[in-house]
Amino acid sequence: MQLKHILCFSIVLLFLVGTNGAKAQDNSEVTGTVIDASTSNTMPGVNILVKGTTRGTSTDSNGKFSLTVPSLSDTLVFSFVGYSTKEVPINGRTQLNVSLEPSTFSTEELVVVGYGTQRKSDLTGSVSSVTSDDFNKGVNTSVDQLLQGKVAGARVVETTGEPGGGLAINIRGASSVNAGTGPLYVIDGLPIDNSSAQAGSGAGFVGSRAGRSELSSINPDDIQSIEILKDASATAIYGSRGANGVVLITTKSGQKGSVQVDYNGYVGIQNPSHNMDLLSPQQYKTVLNNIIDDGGGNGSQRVDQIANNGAGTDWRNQIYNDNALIQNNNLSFSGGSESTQYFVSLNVMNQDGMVKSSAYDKYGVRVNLDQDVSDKFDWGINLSANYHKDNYAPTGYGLNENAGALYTAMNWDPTKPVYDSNGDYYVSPDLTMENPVALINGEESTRSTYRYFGTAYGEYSIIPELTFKLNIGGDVKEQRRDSYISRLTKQGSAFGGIASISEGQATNYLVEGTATYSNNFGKHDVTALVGATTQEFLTIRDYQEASGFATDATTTNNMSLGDQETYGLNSAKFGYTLISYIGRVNYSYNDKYLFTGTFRIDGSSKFGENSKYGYFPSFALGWKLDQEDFLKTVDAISNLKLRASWGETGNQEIGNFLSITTFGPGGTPIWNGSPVVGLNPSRLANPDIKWETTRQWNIGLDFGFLNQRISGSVEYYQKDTYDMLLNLPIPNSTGFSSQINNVGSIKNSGLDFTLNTRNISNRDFTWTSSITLSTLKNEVTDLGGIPEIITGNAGFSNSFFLIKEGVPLRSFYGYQIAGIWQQGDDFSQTTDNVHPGDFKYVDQNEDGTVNADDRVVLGNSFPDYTFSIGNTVSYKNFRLNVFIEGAQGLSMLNNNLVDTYFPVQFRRNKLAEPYLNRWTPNNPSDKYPSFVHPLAQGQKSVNSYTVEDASYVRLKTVKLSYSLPKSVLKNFMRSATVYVTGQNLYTITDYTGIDPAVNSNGNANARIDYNTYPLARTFMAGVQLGF
Amino acid sequence: MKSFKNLLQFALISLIVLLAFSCKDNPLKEKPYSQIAPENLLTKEGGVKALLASAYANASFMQRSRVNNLNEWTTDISWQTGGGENRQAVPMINYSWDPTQGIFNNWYNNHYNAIRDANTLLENIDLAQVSDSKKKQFIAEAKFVRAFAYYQLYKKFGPTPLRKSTQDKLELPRASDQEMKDFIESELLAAIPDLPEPGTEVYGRATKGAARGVLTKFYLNTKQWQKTADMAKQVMDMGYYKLYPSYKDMFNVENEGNKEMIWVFTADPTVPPANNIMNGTQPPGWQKWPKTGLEKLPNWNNWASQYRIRDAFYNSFEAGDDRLDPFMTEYINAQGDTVDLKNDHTDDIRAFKYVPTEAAQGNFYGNDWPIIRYADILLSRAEALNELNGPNPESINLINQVRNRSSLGNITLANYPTKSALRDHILDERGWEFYYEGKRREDLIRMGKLIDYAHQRGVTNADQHYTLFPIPQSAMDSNPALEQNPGY
Repeated sequence: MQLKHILCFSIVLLFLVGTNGAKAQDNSEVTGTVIDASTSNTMPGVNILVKGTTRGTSTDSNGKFSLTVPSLSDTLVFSFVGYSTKEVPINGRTQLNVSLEPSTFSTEELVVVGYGTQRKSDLTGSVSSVTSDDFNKGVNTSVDQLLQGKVAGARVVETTGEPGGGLAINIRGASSVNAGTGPLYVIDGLPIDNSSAQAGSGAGFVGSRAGRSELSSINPDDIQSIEILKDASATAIYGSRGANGVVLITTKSGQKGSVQVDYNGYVGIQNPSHNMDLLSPQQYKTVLNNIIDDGGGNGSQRVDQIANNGAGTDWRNQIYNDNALIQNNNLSFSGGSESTQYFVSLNVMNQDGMVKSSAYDKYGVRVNLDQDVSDKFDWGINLSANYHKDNYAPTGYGLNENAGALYTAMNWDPTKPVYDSNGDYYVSPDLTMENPVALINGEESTRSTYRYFGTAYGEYSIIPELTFKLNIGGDVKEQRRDSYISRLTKQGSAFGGIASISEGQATNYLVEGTATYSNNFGKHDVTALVGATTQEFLTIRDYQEASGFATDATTTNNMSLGDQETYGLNSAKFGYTLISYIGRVNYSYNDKYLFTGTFRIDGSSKFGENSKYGYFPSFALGWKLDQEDFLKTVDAISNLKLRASWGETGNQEIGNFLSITTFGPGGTPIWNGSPVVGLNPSRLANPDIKWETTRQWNIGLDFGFLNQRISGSVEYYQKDTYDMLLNLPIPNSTGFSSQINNVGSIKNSGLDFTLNTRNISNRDFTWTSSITLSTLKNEVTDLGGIPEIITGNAGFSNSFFLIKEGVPLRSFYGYQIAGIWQQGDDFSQTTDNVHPGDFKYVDQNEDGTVNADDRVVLGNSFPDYTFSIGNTVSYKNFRLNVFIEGAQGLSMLNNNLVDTYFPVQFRRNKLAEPYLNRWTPNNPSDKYPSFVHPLAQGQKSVNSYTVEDASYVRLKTVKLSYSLPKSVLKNFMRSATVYVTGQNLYTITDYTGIDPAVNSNGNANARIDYNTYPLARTFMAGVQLGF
Repeated sequence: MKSFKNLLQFALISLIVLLAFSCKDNPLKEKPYSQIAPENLLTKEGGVKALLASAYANASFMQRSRVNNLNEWTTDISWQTGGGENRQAVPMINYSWDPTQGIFNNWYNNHYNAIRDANTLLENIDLAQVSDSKKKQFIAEAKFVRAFAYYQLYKKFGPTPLRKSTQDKLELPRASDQEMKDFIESELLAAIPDLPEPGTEVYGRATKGAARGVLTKFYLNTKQWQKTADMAKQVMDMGYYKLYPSYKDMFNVENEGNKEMIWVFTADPTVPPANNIMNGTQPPGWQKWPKTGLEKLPNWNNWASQYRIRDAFYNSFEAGDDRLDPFMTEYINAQGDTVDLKNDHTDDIRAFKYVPTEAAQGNFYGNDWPIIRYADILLSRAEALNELNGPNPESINLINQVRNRSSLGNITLANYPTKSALRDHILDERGWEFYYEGKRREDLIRMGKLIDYAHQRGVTNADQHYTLFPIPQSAMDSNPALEQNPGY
């Protein structure tokens, strides 16, 4: 299909080349050298363009260049990152020597935008650019960690402290209820699919709700820069996938000149940054026995002996790995000749988890190649192959017999020993949970992933003003997860070992053709782009499980040894296709007034017959105030640009097949003693299903004073999403609870502020700062006539996320606690079963009873504002970098606290503070209840105690580095730096759970903290060597 | 001039690029590889059978611990403490439930899933390439399942939306009481001729006996006494069903499919959720039951949730009643101590009616759940005759048949001079016979005693409106055409 059209394409190209007659031009050669104005050193790699064309070259390793120009009356434009761009009219000369002025914050930088690059000063859209220098300095197993706290408007939230990391990114709030809310990731022009290829965590194995980051396949050390596209003008070119923002990742390319070898390595140790305070064995015994004396619990459950001579067992210590090791090694080669540049990197990373039996290992290689075949034609290829292995400890939201290691370690009876007198794992008759150590040793689950992805491009300039580009990309991911539950666990011994293998293969390929025209007519500068792109995704899965093995020795390596009656099988295949057409026009007048218009047409197979195609336009205007005559003379102002944009983008991240009727597995009855596979309709089809559209406008001011000594931007935006893809509840009597419909709308608005300052800048001492601040307000503005939708579940808590008009998405919905019932209170006000020492809930409607009608909004997951402050101080060859970040005004459900207030079993362990300070007649606390009748009023799990304020300020990273001076290195090495870094050093917060920033629910807009894998405090030391 | 030529070339190229990508042969059509389209499924016998299987499974999904918990915790027989389940149980025990309880949602939705599947089958049966006789049986079974599902809904909520076709509009209002009753009755009657005789069916699927049995209970609970008596007689006259000789053994896995069982939910431990009532029945830490020698196996899960029998109910049994056998009044725990549930605990006796076996796995046990059994037919006819004519020899005789099976002596006509006296005895007899089978609530409601008994237990806030459960809040929210039951 697509092959036919590539062929068609190429024929067209050749045709045009053939008909292109020779032009009347001088075609003279100009040569010269470029030097650094401040040091007089020659500068390799300087970019040189013939102004108004796409023809150009770069300086070689000696700073020399040679270029054939159309005419000796043309102008050459010299640019290099970190230096002011210089325009030099050739004026008939054939030899030019140019010197460039360094400027730390240059507005002449090139920034990558969708399908091209643009000068930063010409941007009309909202684009934040983060280069490798700015990346976070700590442990980065995955690309998203590089960005944490760096970009105003982009919120990066950790979902787990597991090795391999897991993060959820939200750009400018959440614009959808049921469709995806993560941004689109594009690597070297290839939009990638971030979902896991295989499904499930294995039979019997508790997996965590938030998976590990799929982006860890990309080696952070390979990345040159990351651009975050935030507003409609920047993202509309991505049409139906741009509504949640776009993250553009550009990998490094080679440098002209002799080969440069760089080695980057570090070693670190990790420990949990915070653990919740549980009752010690002695406290446990005293408190529980007191509660029994007060009438609670059950007499037969009195605590008597404490094992290990009164020391008991610290279950968390039993499952933790102290000082878990992490190490990373990266080796890269970069070099090239005049026409060919290459970049090759090798990467090995090993990370042990802080919980035993969890780990992450990665091995990767990358080859980037660029070649300028001639003035007209160049091509390149970026390829990456990597393998990573994930080891999982059983963690997650499972309960009771299915609980994971973190849950059982927090809840297990601390007075019991790990092993009983026979040497077997201790089993408590009062607890319906596995022994935590048995879980760690008896359950294993590993996943291996092979991932190959890459892009190849060919660019042909028919004439200097007109360039064609063909871009092809592919991404192949193969995963296999093996899980085994052995006889060391109760579950394993009941079933004779449970083995399962889950495999998945996810592939996608992209074919894209674009044509760019760029020219200037006097004061008018025009660049136009048209193109077409198609991307096809396919996932294939298979699964097998068996139990009843004679021995645990073979685990998953010989499934035929299991009991045939227990064999389970499954397979699946699904995919989708996208076809799009894009167009963009950039116009500037007199380098003062800017205009950008984009348009995209998108078609997706996921949408109903009646609406397969969506249309997404955007417009933006910019005004360079500092170029105006009345401001040009004001020296203090080095940059002042006002910009405004408006546009529409779409969201198509929903499941497949929603517009057609199909049958899938239904109920399974037992007929004649055997199960019969039932099939039933999978959904109520909606043939009208279409895109979710987000209309966004953005107004911003970029400023710079005192030669960019102070620079930054402030912008305000408003996003309205309508035709939301909503699981609309339909009458249950249809046999379906919901149907995906386009109904409802949501609004996000806020302010993004960025400030960069060079506070002190001397020869020996510099101090620079970087500050970001973002505010966000989120509100559901229309729910299509439905009064409210309440969702959410975790452990024993249900139905607590409220979706309702006028309220932020998924606000926490529960009961307000006024205090504790005291002796002598007027109990006639209520008909509920309450005693002194019980929680006193607020009876909102004053009807004498506290029930579901008395629930109120308790908070939400959107921070009122987030901020970060980074400071870099350097003195001679020392450099200190301190980074602080924080969020204010957001809440999180502390679900482990729910288990403490509403105990599932009497003998489970609890958090210390409420129990040590509980209400008794002698200690009539107004804060903590007596715990004698914790469930008498039902389990009102989600309340003003358990939904806590998760605001925090954190000292995130401190890095101290020392670069060996040139005098020591001489010609031996190009550069050498040693450094030490501390990460997650100190946090100020009122939140009592594991960590206010980690959200194990995996959804940045619906935050739950339950059995969370702790966040690591890491100390590492490393070297960076350049040869 | 040069610029114009360039522009022309650019325009030409753009046009070609756009054209090149537009001539595709519908590449945006979805390809559901792993799911089945209607035209592939419902034309084959296997496909129709699969859809029917789903209908059956959905209709009986609630027939296990759930049916019991909804139907007994609001009565004098049993109650619940402990575990996460307590959150759902407390409102049932205290008569403080509201439309947002999850259990009402499950009950409502699962039955409508069965109705949806049955409707889909009935609408598409003509596509199927099967023989006429097979078609007739499929139709009869679908009608049976659908009517049974509507009956379950009617018992709990009163009349609900009567959906007879998948093409009915989405927002249907509730049917009238008469419409719903007529529909249930006519569907069951229409199904009987084409259903197989008991003993010839695939075990687990409907038979003539099952349809007649459901009709008998339907007539009984809607107080249509003559029809009850007549239909019960039809079941008796089939000559197939009889009382199983041993009360406690008839629920065992090894005796599944015995002739007392007319309509059951077939359970198998390898297919969740199976019969899961034993998870809450087992007392904490038990290891051995001295009365029977039963020992707890490690593969039986014992939940934190506790299902407990009330002492008053236990003490109401007559001495020598075999139906007391399944009750566990004491056990030996892991430490070797004997725990006396009857004398040392309050309201803590356990009903080990569905004896677990070695094949049970975790939460799932294989004992079939009796929905309708022969003893119920006999007692229903006895009650109907009493309501029609007052105390009479046949009613007494039928009751005695059930009592004799459990080693109890006969009652005599002389001891029950009035209709209400005999009715009260039948209520007691039904309690002793059908405890832990999910029948108590409907019996108490039918005999007008639900609220009185609640008051006697100290639940003073119970009043008449609690005889119907509320339409679940999510159903109310998604369908503005629905009206809630009074009092909610």
